[in-house]
This record gives sequence, C-alpha cells and structure tokens, in this order.
Amino acid sequence: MSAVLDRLQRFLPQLVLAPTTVAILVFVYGFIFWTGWISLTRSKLLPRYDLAGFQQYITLFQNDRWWVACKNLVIFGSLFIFFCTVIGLLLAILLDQRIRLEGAIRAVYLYPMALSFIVTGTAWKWMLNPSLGLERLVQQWGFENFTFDWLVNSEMAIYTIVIAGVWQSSGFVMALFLAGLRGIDDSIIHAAQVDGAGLPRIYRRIIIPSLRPVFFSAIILLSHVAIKSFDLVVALTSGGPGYSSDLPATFMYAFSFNRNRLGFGAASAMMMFFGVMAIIVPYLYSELRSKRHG
Amino acid sequence: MSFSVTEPSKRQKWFAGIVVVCYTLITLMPLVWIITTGFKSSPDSIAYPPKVVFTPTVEGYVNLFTTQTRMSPGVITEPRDHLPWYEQIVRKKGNTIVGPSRFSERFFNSVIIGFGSTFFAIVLGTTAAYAFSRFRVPLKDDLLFFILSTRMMPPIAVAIPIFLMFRNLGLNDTHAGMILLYTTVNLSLAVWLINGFIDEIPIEYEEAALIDGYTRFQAFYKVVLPQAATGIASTAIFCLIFAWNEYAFAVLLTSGTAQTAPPFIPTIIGVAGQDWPAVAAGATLFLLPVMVFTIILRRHLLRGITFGAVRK
Repeated sequence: MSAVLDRLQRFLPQLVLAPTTVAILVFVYGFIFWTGWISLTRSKLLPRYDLAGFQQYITLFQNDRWWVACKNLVIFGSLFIFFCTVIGLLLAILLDQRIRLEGAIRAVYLYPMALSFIVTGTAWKWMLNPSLGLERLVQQWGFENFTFDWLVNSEMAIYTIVIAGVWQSSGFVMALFLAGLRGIDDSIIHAAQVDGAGLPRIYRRIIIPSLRPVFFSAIILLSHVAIKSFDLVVALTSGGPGYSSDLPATFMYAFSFNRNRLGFGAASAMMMFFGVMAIIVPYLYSELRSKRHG
Repeated sequence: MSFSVTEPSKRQKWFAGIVVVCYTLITLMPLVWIITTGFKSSPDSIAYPPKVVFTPTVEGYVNLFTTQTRMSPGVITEPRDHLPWYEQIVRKKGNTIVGPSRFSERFFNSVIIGFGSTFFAIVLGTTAAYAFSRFRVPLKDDLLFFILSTRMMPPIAVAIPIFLMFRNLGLNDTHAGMILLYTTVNLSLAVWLINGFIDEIPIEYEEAALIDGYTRFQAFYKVVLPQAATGIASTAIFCLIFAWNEYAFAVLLTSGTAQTAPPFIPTIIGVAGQDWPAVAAGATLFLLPVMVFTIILRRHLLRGITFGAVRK
C-alpha cells in the first residue's frame, strides 16, 4: 500500500500537471497550427487540407478593409493603453488619500470591466447616438451648434470605441495600482520624508518606480484586452459605418463565419497571432529573464 | 488595512474627493440608464429629454419574461379583475400573454456554463499551480512562461479550429462543449494567478506540517488551501466573469438549447419594435449577479491582488 502511495507521490507532479498542460497545449498551440494549415489552403465554407501556398495572405495584403482594421488597432490600442494607465494611476493615487467610502467607490470602478460590454453597450449606443443622447442634450441646453456624431462618422467611429474602452478598463487598472501602492513598504517612504524629500519627489523617485511590476501587468492585461476587443466594436458600431471601425478580430470573424471564407479568415487570424507574438513575447521574456537573474 | 503611503493634508483630501466622485458618476452613468430604463414604460423610455422622474412600472420585466400577441378589440372589453397582475399590465396595451419567453432558459444556461467552467478551471488550475510552486518541475520557468503566453492569445484567433471541432464532435449548442471551451480558456489565467498566490505562502508551514506527520495531500488541504483561499476566490471571480460575459464564441457556437444570455439580450424585441424597457430589464438581471459578486468580494479582490494573507 505504502509502496503504491510512494510511487504515486513520485509521479504526482506529472499527474497533476499533465491534464492542464496538455489542454493548454492542444487548445492554443495545436489550434494555432491548425489555423495556420487552413490559412495555406483554399478552404471556403468547408475546410480543405491540400496546401495551396500563400495565396490567402497575398489576397489579404491587397485587401483595403484589412489595412483599415490594422490601422484602427494601432489607433485604438495606443490611445486605450495610454489613457487607461494614466487615469488608472491617477485615480489610485487620489483614492489612496484616505477617502471616505473608499470600498464602495473601488467596487464601482471595477464594474465596467466586470460587466459584459454587449449589455452595457446598449446604454453607450444610446448616449453616443446623435439624435438621442449627448448631442441632443447639449443642444437642448442652448448650444445649438454642438455636434457629437462620432458614432456615425466614419472618420471618428473608432474613437467612440476608445472612449468606451477607457471607461471599461481604467477602473480595473486603478485597482491594480491601488494594490501596488498599498504594498509599498512604508519605512522607505518615512525614511525619505525624514531626509527631507518632498511629496512630488517621493512619488517620482520611490513610489512610481516601485510600481514597475504593476505597470508590467497593467500593460500586459490592457494589450490583451485591446487585441481581443470584439464586443466593444460589435456592441457599438458593428465595424461601421461601412467598415471604418473594424478591428482585426471583427474582420476575421466577418470573413470566416459570415462570408464563409475560412482560408482567408484563417490568414487574418494568423496575422493577429504574429502581431501578438511580435509585441508581447520579447517583452514578457525580458521581464521573466530579469526576474530570474535579479 | 487601508492606509495611504503619505499622510494627506485637508486640501489634498478635498481635491481627491471631488475628482474621485466625478469619475464615479461617469462610471455609473450607463448603469443608471440601464437600471432606470428597465422600470420605465415604453413611451417614457424614449421620451426626450430623458425622464429623470417617472412612474416606475414592471412592464419591462413582464415583457422580458413573456411572449405576447395583440388581441382583437372584442376581448379587451371582458372584465379583467380576475386576471393575474401581469396579465392586467399586458392587457392595458391591448396585448395578451401567450407563453413564457426564452429569457429564463438563456439565463439558466449562463449560470450552468459559467459556474461549471469556473469549477473545473479552479480545480485543475489550483492543483497545477501547487505542483509548479512546490515540486521540482523541469523547465518550470519556461512552462509557466508558455502557459502565460497562451493567455495573451486573443481566443478569437483560434475560432476556426474550435468551430470545426465543435461541428465534427457534435458539440455545437451543448452545455458540455461550452464548459469545456471556457475551462480551457480560463485555465492559463487560473494557473498563473494561483501560482503567484501559493508562491507567497512560506514553504516552512508545510514542511512543519509534513514533519508532524501530515501527508502531502493533507498539507495541501489543511495548510496551503486556507491560506490561498482569498487568492483562489478572486481567481474564481475572474474566471466566472469571463465565462459569464463571453460573447464571441457564444454567438458562434450556440443558438438554441445552450445559448447563453449575452447573445440573447440584444435580440429581445417586443410586439412593436425595439422594446427598450425589456432589453434594459434583461440587462439589469444579467448584470446583477456580477455586481453583487464584485461587492461581496471587493476586499478579497484587492487582497488577492496584493498577494495573500501572509507576508514574509
């Protein structure tokens, strides 16, 4: 009996890790390989597995709509990450000033991230709609010339997605930063105060640098949110007007499943994959390396 | 537990308070719109300027849960005192209830799939995280990195194989299929987060327990698990929220029996055009559980992110 248990004990790590690792291996890397294979075929509605070279990629790179989606991702991603980080950090610092009802406010700030945007998006659509929401309200206050038609303006539609995205995620980033602020060792700050350092200096030299790991996780999480953003676009503009607010995720979905061009859709999915890899992997790897050697 | 890094002055406190309250209002605006619209009558919901003061009605909720049809004028003249209250509300608009709507079914699907997938992700994730944290795993850092990297992948990028797999295995529109899918999507996050929490627990506690004659499993169950509980709970909340809100796969892979609430809510329409109060009522009910969870676990959520109860 105990011999069996001993054996079990020895193989426990493998036994415990195997299902999880295999599941992740198959579902993510196996499926990326599968997607890659399909992207090299002429699959339409039904998958085909005879390789046909890079034709789908060539067609993809000649597709205007694809480049619009890529440009939108750059605009959306950079503005979204920037504003979320700035607002999140600012709110965390402000909320750290021993404000009353802090617990309740913290929960409120977490709501937008926690709630489905497909559902909260109905309210946003109403507010951003020129003939219903903000535009009409401000006009009624007497500012007749006020226009806010970003939702239906193909030049500006992507920025409404930025606004909603920042609304959705900045509270979450705030929670991360607040946790980071609370985790800073007080004695260092007191020591600095005794040495005569002013508040701005303490923030710049001690507090912000020690939040480095928080910046790290915030930026990872936000880029993850940005690249996979699908709900935001579907709920607000469905990629429109025309395809002016498409993101790669909605592009991929539309071509794969609405237009039944699996091979072409797979090629765009692979481009998303390479994009994620190119941005995040070197960053992650350097962080993990420095942790290991530091 | 709450203290600021520096002692704030009175003026700082005021300034901070005002900014924080303003941002709170902005944050709450869409939610206030949803919750109030759910209690408005149909004309009030599209009235302009938006009615801040209105007579609340549960019409929207009645519409949400029922299927209705217009009645011929002759029937309306019947005395309606003996009718149940919900039928009376509907009759006022010249409709009659012909049956329940699909909403409760869809909502229940969300519950099963959300909790089911969270359960599996947490069980598998906790055991794997414990193994990573406490056993000598070859290439541990690379494996963890590899697991973390999958989290960065937009799930939609592998939608095509998942779509094909579901079609081939007959998993389309099944609860089992959706639970399997959401479990695997959440698993990498669960492993990564819980591994962080367990790493923070001093290994000396378990060593002491093992010396006292506990088995490895008892040590895990009685020493590690209680200390990692807040971390695991907050991880579970993250997983649950993901599964609860997931839309892209739900709309792609479910259409009937296993359809969850997110793809269903935007499709709610009344007898005559978009029924905003019914949509808002459905939205309110759908958002409520997550709002309650966020409140109940907000302390644990923060403590979870601040890494565990015990510090070295």
